[in-house]
Amino acid sequence: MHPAVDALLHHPKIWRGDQLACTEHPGLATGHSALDRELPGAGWPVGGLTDLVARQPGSGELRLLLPALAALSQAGRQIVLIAPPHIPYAPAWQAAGVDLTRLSWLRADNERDRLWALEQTLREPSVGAVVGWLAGAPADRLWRRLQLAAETGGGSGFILRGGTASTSSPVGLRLQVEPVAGGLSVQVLKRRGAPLARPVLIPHENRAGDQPLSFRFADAVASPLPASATVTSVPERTLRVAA
Amino acid sequence: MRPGQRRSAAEALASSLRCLRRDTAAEHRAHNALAAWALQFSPMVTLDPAPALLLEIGSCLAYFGGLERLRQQVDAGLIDLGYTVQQGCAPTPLAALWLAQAGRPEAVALATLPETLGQLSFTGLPLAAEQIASLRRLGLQTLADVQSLPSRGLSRRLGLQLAQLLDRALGRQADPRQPYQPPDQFERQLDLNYPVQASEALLFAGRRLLIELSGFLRGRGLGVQQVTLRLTLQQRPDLESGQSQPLSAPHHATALPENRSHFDLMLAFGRPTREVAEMLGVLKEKLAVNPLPAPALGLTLQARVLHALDAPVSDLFSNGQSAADFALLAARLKARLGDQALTGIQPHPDHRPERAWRTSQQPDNAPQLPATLRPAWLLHTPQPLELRDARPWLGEPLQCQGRAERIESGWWDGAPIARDYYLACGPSGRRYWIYFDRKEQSWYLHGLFD
Repeated sequence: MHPAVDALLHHPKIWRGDQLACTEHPGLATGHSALDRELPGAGWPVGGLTDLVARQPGSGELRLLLPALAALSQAGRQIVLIAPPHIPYAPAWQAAGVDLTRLSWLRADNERDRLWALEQTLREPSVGAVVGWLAGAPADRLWRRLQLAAETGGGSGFILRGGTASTSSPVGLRLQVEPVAGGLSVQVLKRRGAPLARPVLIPHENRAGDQPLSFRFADAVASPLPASATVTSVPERTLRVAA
Repeated sequence: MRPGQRRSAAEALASSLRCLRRDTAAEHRAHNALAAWALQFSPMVTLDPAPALLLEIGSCLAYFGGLERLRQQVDAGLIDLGYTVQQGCAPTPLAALWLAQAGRPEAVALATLPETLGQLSFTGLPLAAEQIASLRRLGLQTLADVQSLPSRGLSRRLGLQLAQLLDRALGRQADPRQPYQPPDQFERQLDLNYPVQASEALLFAGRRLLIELSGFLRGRGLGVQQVTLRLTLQQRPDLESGQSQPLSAPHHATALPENRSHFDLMLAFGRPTREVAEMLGVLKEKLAVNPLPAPALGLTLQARVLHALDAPVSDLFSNGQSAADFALLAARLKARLGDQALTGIQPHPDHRPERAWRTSQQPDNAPQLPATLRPAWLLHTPQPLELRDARPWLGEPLQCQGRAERIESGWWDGAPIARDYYLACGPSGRRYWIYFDRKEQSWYLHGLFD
């Protein structure tokens, strides 16, 4: 193809049906390469929103977000969590690489305050990522306001909301995350580009390497386990102990 | 109507006349406040005894981008504060003052100063009435007439004063002035014309005070991190005391909180600042969440502690985003949602999982704990799990993975725990952090991994 035509086809405003949309800003790497390949800009939208559907807390939303949040915090950008459903457990977040001095936890009881805080934080240029939990799906008008705030601030906004995957939103990227045996399944419900039929699978990392000392100590003492618990050993770890 | 007229004569001319007593103390306060505000334009501000301010601007013209720009800024600032201004601009302070009093705003150069001043009459000058009268008797109408006379004879007839004044105004004699020394604290009061309860109106009044504060701070290179806005409230007429019973009964004092006549709003900005827009943002949120118990009659803005505020240091390679901006956002969030609403988190060296973290108000370097298997979500209180088929159950049967992490700790401070923690999985693939309480012999859910 002629180079001029080629350059023209890479213009952000031109999109061909068989490819992902080009974005003005490169995305924020998700830390999961399989997912990066399926997202426009090869990552989470920067200066934009992501609508993340997780049926209940602990469905894998943090596993999905933590690598990107860790990278942002280490780059000196602020991260704000707005009304998380449980305690963000500091030891685990630290272990995931998040610089906790850059992490703020905002409590807001009612939905109005949450939306207000979302808009305020998204508008702030020093904030790299905002993760907000909403009870219901906001109205289209509010989505647009948040989208505008994110464009002003230039950070990444993640909205985790109740409701089902079928409730639409005017946001460019909508994902649904669900746990599956051995990992997560991320369904890209909406993206700028060709629709994705199959979910992206993100396997759990092998945690055998960072088993604490106390675990092995407990092995050695051979404490009688409660009879009601059914325990299955992870094979790799058994191997490692044998070695 | 003329000054010196009787009140009755004035009222006969205008029936809707409202007479107010002149408050010289308030005038004095306002004069001082304006001097403090004007320090942002010039380091040398003089309180002239008249309601005038003298600013030495020759040394700061370059900074403000020229005379016209500077004068526009001063004008706009004063209009913002609600004052009307008459400007005069001349090479000597006295000439500038006279020109301002005569309502001649154009700038005058030193060469044309005698000619311009010559057109002025005596009425605005600081001369005694009999001096002016004797000048008139001599047939003199303007300063030009005085200038044309020999100065020695003039001094003999009228005293040294007039000749001295003329020499100072024309720059032939030095005219040293006492510069205004601003106080170390800021306190400004604004009385409202009528009781106000709507937050928009209060915001408008508060803005005026904040503009004054900002000017004061700018002039001194300072900032504030916290200010108090005290609203003087209207005493609510007491319904029970309508029967000529004053508020003497002791239960009145306790039962009626609206008898309090002050309402204090603390505005905290998270970092030293002097930007009106930033301070106004915090005030707006404070007013939104703290409705006034009664209409306000006046506002007082107090800033007790002033911070040195250096010009922001910009880094060539950073894109102008700093932690300081975030502190301001945090202040706005706290103003609306409460001080406890925004915290950081940090790990705490304790074996008990519920005590292995704490909230922190200031971001500081947290202790690095050894990496162990910990869930990203911790439940506020552990959730008891039921047993089905001798297995813990949470909507699905849970299967423990790996071996237990036994935590026995806290026997010394009255909160002992004896638990075996497991990573558990269900058929759905969800990963839970559950524990078996060895004292109660029961299962609990304590965290979620993903």
